[in-house]
Amino acid sequence: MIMKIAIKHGRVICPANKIDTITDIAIENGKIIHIGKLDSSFVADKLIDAHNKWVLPGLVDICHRPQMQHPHGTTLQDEAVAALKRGITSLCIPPDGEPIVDNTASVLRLIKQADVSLPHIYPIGALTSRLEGESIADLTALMEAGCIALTNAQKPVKDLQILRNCYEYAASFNLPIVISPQDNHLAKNGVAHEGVVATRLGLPGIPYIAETIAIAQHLLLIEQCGVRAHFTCLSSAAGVAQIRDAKAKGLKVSADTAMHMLHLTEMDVSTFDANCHLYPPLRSIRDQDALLQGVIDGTLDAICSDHRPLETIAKLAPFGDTEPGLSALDTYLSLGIHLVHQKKLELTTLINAITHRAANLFHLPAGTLSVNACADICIVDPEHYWAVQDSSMYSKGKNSPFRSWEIPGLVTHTFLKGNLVYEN
Amino acid sequence: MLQFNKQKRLKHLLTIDGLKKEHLIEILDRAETFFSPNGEIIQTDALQGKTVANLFFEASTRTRSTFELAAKKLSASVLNLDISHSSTSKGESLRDTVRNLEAMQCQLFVIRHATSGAAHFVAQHVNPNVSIINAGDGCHAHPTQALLDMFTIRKHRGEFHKLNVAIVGDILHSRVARSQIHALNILGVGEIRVIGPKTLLPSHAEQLGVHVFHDLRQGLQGVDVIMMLRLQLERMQRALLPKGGAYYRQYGLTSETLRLANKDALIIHPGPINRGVEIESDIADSPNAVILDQVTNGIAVRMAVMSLLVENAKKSL
Repeated sequence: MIMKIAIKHGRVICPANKIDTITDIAIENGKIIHIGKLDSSFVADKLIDAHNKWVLPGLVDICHRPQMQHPHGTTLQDEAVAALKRGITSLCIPPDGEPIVDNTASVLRLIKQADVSLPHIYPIGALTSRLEGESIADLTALMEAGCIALTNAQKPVKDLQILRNCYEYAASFNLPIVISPQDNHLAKNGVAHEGVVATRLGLPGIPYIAETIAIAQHLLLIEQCGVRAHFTCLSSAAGVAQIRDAKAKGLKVSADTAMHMLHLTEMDVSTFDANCHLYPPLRSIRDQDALLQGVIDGTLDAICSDHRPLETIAKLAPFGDTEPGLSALDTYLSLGIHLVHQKKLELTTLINAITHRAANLFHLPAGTLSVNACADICIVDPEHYWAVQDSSMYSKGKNSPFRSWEIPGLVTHTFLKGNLVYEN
Repeated sequence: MLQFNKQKRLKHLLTIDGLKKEHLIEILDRAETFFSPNGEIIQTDALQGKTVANLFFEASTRTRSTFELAAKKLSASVLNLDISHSSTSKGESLRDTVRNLEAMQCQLFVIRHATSGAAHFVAQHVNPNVSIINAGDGCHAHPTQALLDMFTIRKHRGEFHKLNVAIVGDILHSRVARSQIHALNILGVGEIRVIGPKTLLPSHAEQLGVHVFHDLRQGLQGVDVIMMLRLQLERMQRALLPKGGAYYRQYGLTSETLRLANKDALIIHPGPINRGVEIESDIADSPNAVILDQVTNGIAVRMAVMSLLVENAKKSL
């Protein structure tokens, strides 16, 4: 059945194609076939009235863990379907879940779970076997099986000789690396940003140099090995400055920060709220300002969600004894829209950071509204405020530090490959 | 704030941070009433029929004994639970332990735990008619220790506002120091100094309302009250200090360094003291040191806190 769908009267926003106007979109055969006013010549099987709504490319989340850590394991299905309800149509998944994605079989296992009713799955493969930092994983095999990049996730490779070998090997085949910059010794036992709040609360601190020392080491190796690299989930002003300088020098690096970093700081830890126990930690207001500035001036190419859904029990303990991580997919787009409403971020910059520019980092066929492109579309009502609560969250993980926040932006329709996979 | 009930009276004692001067004075004044004219702690039936549960996840003989003594002087029943700190499911065991005790209908829990924020966590998960006293959580707070220190200072020095106070030692890992700093600020002392090497001082320490000194001799000049912290020798394994006598040489309170402070400077120590490590043995026994007096005061202060919380709970019904 060839579904012909018309989305009419919406504010169509696609920074990649420099579109920001009230107009229509026609979908046929899973693809966008026309962007512009539709007349009676296009007879749609389904008509969507997007009056007063934004019509965006489906969101591209470049750091997203769609599985709950659970003794019995969970399938992708359980959690990834929630992403669609929030307009996220492409997920880039780090390899540090269960099982660790460090061989072809585990990549295929992940991709096989992909479904017409689930977002596009883009696995990031492990840089070293079992992420143990001792031997190079079969990087080309991982890429051939479907990985979009390689990373050692949050387990830094301690031996710089080995790390260098990994980078040189990857550079031989122009394979991109993703780096979570953290020096494990400086971050050891830390549960919060080493700053005024950790001092007051007696929480073991993670100094910002845990991030910048790691970035410095990686940048030097990247320069020498000629490898393409992307730094993910930056948390510090100094880290942003390092990336800015590196780009100015002409290094092929990119970076992102997580959406929550633009809204929360160490101050939010003051009440020992375990949902604010995050890794990397929430840093100072000054760091937050610099992260936002980094997004504005393009030093930070994208904003990810850093989604990590956890069981309730994982957060039910004194602060430092809980598992770090937040459930972020429900608030991802809304928090971005909130920044736009507050005039802290321009709409174009936001949409770029969560669609086109994000997708471009790994050459993903996603993030735009283009004729002949796959019809992955998200329609959102930017003026509809909703309260973040267990009952209103679609994710199975309720570990959100934004509980009881009322934020703007309710996704009303999500299209995946031209199919309406979610409607509110 | 978690510590207060709807009538804005103290419901739990979790931390000095957030209390006002009148809250502290109320406790100090109440503690006075538990001394007879000859200085003995009196017996009262203020907590008759109530059960106090001591939940100590960290070993402690001194603090637990004084809490137990305080409860008994108030005629409460006491339940002692020494729970070894399990490395798995910490949160589960803490929450479940508390729930079991609630079923046993204890009105007051005294909690000591290795993790900062543990007392707050428990306070968030108990029934509304239960009171929590923090007996030390990680590096965060030890409010009753700070209160008994303030009581001791007031007893020997009277007014707070002219006093210069120095806290010496491992402030970074000290819940006692943090609580003392809050209390001293709230009571409006003259100046608060922290003295120690950078490795034992937290970042942004000045923002707690203190002046930072790395030199003991400079830091002690003009000081009226010296609050010594116990040097936790196990810290040396994490390369925070040189081994051997370096700490004593630079930060030890000796008759020589004591002379730099004001005449008759008061010496306070939460105990147990490490003779020859942070303090010269003779100094620890000198008239300046009121360490044993602190212990006795601790009983009265803990009686004051317990009786106040139970009274506030009754009034809120």
